[in-house]
Order: sequence, then structure tokens, then C-alpha cells
Amino acid sequence: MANRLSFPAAALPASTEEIRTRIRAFLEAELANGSFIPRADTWLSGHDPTFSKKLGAEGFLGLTYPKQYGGQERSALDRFVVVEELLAYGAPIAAHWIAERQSGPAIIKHGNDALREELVPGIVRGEIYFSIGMSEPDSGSDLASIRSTAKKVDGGWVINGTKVWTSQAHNNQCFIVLVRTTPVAEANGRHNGMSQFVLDLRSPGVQIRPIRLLSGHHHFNEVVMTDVFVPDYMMLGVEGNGWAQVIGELAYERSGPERILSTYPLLAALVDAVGTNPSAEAAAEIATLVSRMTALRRLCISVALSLDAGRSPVTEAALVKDLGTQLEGEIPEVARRLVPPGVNERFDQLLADSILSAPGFTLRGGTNEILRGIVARELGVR
Amino acid sequence: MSTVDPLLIETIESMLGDLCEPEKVGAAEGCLDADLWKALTESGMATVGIAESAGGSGGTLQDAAAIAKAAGRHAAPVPLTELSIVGGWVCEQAGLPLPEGPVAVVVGNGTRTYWAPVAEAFVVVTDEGVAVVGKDAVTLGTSGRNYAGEPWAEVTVSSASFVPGPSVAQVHARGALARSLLMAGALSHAAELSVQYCNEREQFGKPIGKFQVLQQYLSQMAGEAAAAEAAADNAVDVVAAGADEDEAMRVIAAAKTVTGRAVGIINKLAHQIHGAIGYTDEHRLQYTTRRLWSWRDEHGSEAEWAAALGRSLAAAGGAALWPAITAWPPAAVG
Repeated sequence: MANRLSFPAAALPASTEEIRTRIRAFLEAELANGSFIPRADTWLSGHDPTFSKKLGAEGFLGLTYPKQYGGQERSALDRFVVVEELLAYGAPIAAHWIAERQSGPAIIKHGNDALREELVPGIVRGEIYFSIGMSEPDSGSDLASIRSTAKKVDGGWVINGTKVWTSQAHNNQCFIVLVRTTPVAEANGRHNGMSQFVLDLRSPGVQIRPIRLLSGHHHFNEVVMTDVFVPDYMMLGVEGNGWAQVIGELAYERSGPERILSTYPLLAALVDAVGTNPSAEAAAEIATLVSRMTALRRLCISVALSLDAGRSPVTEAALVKDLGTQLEGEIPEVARRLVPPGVNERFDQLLADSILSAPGFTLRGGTNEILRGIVARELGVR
Repeated sequence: MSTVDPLLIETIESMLGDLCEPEKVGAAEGCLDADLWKALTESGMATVGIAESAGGSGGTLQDAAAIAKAAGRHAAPVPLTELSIVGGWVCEQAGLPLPEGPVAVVVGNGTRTYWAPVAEAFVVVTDEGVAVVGKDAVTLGTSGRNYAGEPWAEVTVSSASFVPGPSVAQVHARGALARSLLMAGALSHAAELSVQYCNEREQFGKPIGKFQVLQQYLSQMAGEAAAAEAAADNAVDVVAAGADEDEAMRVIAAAKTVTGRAVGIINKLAHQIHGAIGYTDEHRLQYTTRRLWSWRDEHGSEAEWAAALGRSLAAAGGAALWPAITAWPPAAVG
């Protein structure tokens, strides 16, 4: 068969029911006491350290991490359930999001003991937050073309270069930065010679400049690094192995529930806004969105199970992200057709959040066009 | 959830691969392929998913679904799912003996019944109850063929002794589940044929699959096909887990909605990729795409099912939506 994509039968283990009940009860209580108001796209824009610390204290962060560093060594499916509940409730989870999803696991996998002990327990407590240091002004989809460098000096490295689209760098303590440690000309192929470092964003020589979004929100930044010193132990993994380390994270980054649920709070509000007796057309439009969401959620679960079983479903994750981010963008398009403005303030707020953040859905974490190229190659063309 | 034995899939794929060559599929238009029907019934494949105690081959609904998807993938010109997914289930539920021969399912007296002109037995579902009757007990009225040449006729039942069984609405839903499974298989086949054609066909001195636009199409098709299969599989798992009637209707509605919608996208792109040759009689793509255009309308279009699901969701309200979404697929036991 030409199609080599594989989505094995999917069902969450019954053992995940316990933590779903617990996180739902927590979220209902938080909603009731007014600790947050549901918003859309909260995993990038809802930065609330108080809420993140509460999640840490309740044991909802770092579920899969080793016990040695404060984790619970639970299944990735337990984390899947916690994350999808947080997203569905529109809770403010941006502060700890990147740290807990990918920086912590990268440090646990590739970091040395000193780095792990210094950072991972704080991530689990919801106190230490990370941004992503990958894209540069001239390196977007073509990430291997980055120009930031690290040069070896006594006791550490000196980093120079500029990173962009660095979400929440102005609020977070650290990022993991991808830089060249060997010039392209001397590396054996352009994917070699890159390395990753953990960099304290308050280090001397780091300048953080806001890049405001069209919504007026500030979560993007430009991070300029001028002769920033990082000690040796802050290198993540092996010198020159940065590309492979980055690629290894992508299946985790691309297939999570956040790739289908960014605008879910609007969908739930839409169901209320059309009332209990909608027209056949309105009912059908809503049901089409919900039907696709349940199908894509099954694919997400399938990818999560594959990851948990130790496989690397990079292509399947790319495919799910392509479909899921399109759905996220269609929800506000349907919502605005079915409900006129001014009827319901909460609905209008969620619609505004969704419309104005939608351009990012199909860009962040790899554009849909790049993802489709990855899928096509796996299908056997190119 | 139960997983399907890979050996079962290998067996049915091999059987259908041998017996569903394009010429045979074409020759069976307006009737059915008797050799294929014989092979499927004698091997027991046509009654997988129906308990042995009810006259079937045993196995799970997931097993029957895997066979139905394979039948869709190979454009099998037989009323397989009328027996395996719909009619056999009705008989099992009602305690009626499983009929012999090709079966058609009459869902409401006097209604359009798929495969009726070639059926030897009829499973009849009316407001009075359900029954199994032979050809002599029915009258065929207006008849025709769907876009793929699969025959239908309006069927009126003159005499039958009805027993209690699944309702007209439930059997209509079961028919929609069957069409969703057939479509899931056929959609993946249309996507696969398109990949194949992109590698074979050369223009401007290279395979057309080298062009990024076509790569984007192929990826979109693979995505829609995967989503369609996931929707159909959700329905199978939820129904197999013993969902009540309302829940079964909702999850089947979602399956028919996603698969039916995917037909519009995948058929269009498949024909665009295949160019003029793809919509000629001599190319095999049409056996798949004509079936897809037909099946999306049979047992309720996505418009009908989506409206029904949407009304149910709206009646329950926004707070009930998330628990409903997370109920599918059902959690694994143990």
C-alpha cells in the first residue's frame, strides 16, 4: 500500500478516568471562585503564574517526569487528559506551558545532573517558565539556516545572535536556544554543527524587545544576544547534536490536544448562544465542527499512544496538526455566521480572541504547508 | 475497545484483491458478482460480527467493520454490509434466523431499498416490528441504480409475521454506520490511487508528484481519509461498547457527517490529480469515486445527520458538550 501512515486503534486507558475527575473538579472549583475567566488560545496568551503554581501544588504538572525530580512517573496519557481538560476550560496555562511540555522533558533527556536538579523541580512546581529559542529573523520554516553562534571560551560559551517570535520571553526566566557551534562550511552537512543551550533570559547581554501582535497583545518578542556567557553545564546534550534533539521533540510538540482545542471555549459558547432549538442549518454547522473534533481527537489519542509506546510518529503528528489547526480556525468562522455581535458579551470576547489569534494557528510549530510536505514525502512522492 | 487480528485483515484483503479486479467490478453493474458473494458467504466473512449462536461467524463489531472497510476499499460489488452490519444485526437482536442468500434491508414499508432487485431475502423493519421474508412476499415498485450501478427498488411487503426488534430509526442509523465504513475504506483507496498516479504520470519531464501543489493535495487527502476512518471507528467502538440508542445515533451521525464531507474533498482532488483519464470508463478510479458519491447520500446525507446531531447537542447545552466529546472513543477496559 502506498499510504504508509499508521493510526493504530485508539482508546485512553481506563486508568486515566481518575485524574480526569480530579482535574475537572479542580477546574470547576477555580471557575466558581473566579480565579480565571475562560478564554481562547490560552496556552500561548494566558500567562498567569499564580494559576500555574496552583496546578503545580495540586500535582498536575510534570506528571510523566521522574520522581527524583519531583515528577510522578505517570503515563503520557494521564498528562494528555490533564492538558485537554485545561484547554477545554480555557484556563490560563501559558506561563508553565512550554517548560512543562518540552523544556523539562528535553532537560531530563539530554541535560546533565546539575541542570536537571537546578531546573526540573521548579518546572514541576509551576515556578520556572521557559520560552522557545529556535526561529530567527531570516530562519523560519528553514530552521537549519540559523546564524546565532556559540563560541567556546574558558569555562563556558559566548553566544551571539537574534531569536524572534519568542513567546513570553519578557515573562519567563529561561529559553532553550539553538545555535551554531560549528560554522556550516566546516560542518559535515547543514544539519550538523548545531547545539542547544539553556539560557537565563536575565543574563547580561540579553535584550528583550516586544513584537506586538495585530490584536495589540504582547506575547511575541525579539531576543537579541550580545556576547552572552553561558557556563559549560548549561549546554543541553551533545555538542553538534542540536538538530536531532530539536527534531525529536517535534512529535510531542505537534500532536498535542492544543492543536485541535485552541478555540474550543468558543465552540462551547456557540452551542449556548444558538439556544436549545437552533435551525437545521445552524445545528448542522455546529455538529460538523464537533464531529470533526471527535475524529481528530481520536487521531491525537492514537499518536499519544504511539509516543507512549516508544515509537516516533512524526508524520502522523504533522498530519494531525494540519487538520486540527484548520479546524481551530474554522470554529470562529462558523461562530460569527451563526451569532450576531452584541448578543452575549462572553461570546463576543471569545470570538474576538479566536478571530485575532487564528492566523497563528496554522503557522506556529511548523506551517501547514511544510507539514504537508512532510506527509507527502512519507506517502511516497518527492 | 477490541483490536482486530491482522490475520483477518490480511485474509480479506487478499480475497478481495483476487476477486475485485476492475473488469469484474464493472461487469457487475446493475446486479452483483455471484462468485464474490459465494466466496464471502462460504468463508464466513459475510457474517463476521454476528454471534455463532445467531447463525453468524462470531467475532466483534470491530472485526465486521474491518471487513466492511476492505469491501469499500475494493469496491466489492455485493451487498456485504446489508448482511454483516445491518440485516444480520437486526435478526440477531430480534432472535430471527439469519437468512440465506443476498439480503436487502427494507427500512420502512414502501421505501427505497438498496440491492432489492438482486436480493433473495428481505429483512423488513417497520413500525409493526421486524421480519425476514422471501422474494415472493414482496412487491418491487420503482427501481433504479445509484451512481455506481448498485441497484435499488421501492419495496412493499404484502405479508409478514412481525416480531419485536430494532426500530426504523435504529436500522436507518445502522445503515448509515455501514455506509460510513464503506466510505472510510473507499476514501483511503482514492487517496492511495492518487499517490500512485502522481508517481507514474510524467509531465514536463518529471513525475507530477514532484510538483508541490500536488504534494499538498495528496497530504490533504491522506488527512481527510484518516479523519473519516477515525470517525467511523469511533462509531464502531461506541456502539460495540453498548451505547444506548441516543448515544449510538449521535456517534453514527458524527461518522456519517465526517465521511460524507470527506467525499466532496477527496473525490474532487482525486479527479483533479488524475486528469482526463480519471473520469473515463477505462480508469479504475471511477469505481471508487462513483460509489463514494452514492454512499454519502444513502441512509441520510451528512446534512440530515449533522442537523440531528446538532439539535441534540444544542438541547443539551454548552456545558454538556465537553463530556460528550470526551466520551468518544470509550476508554479501554482494564
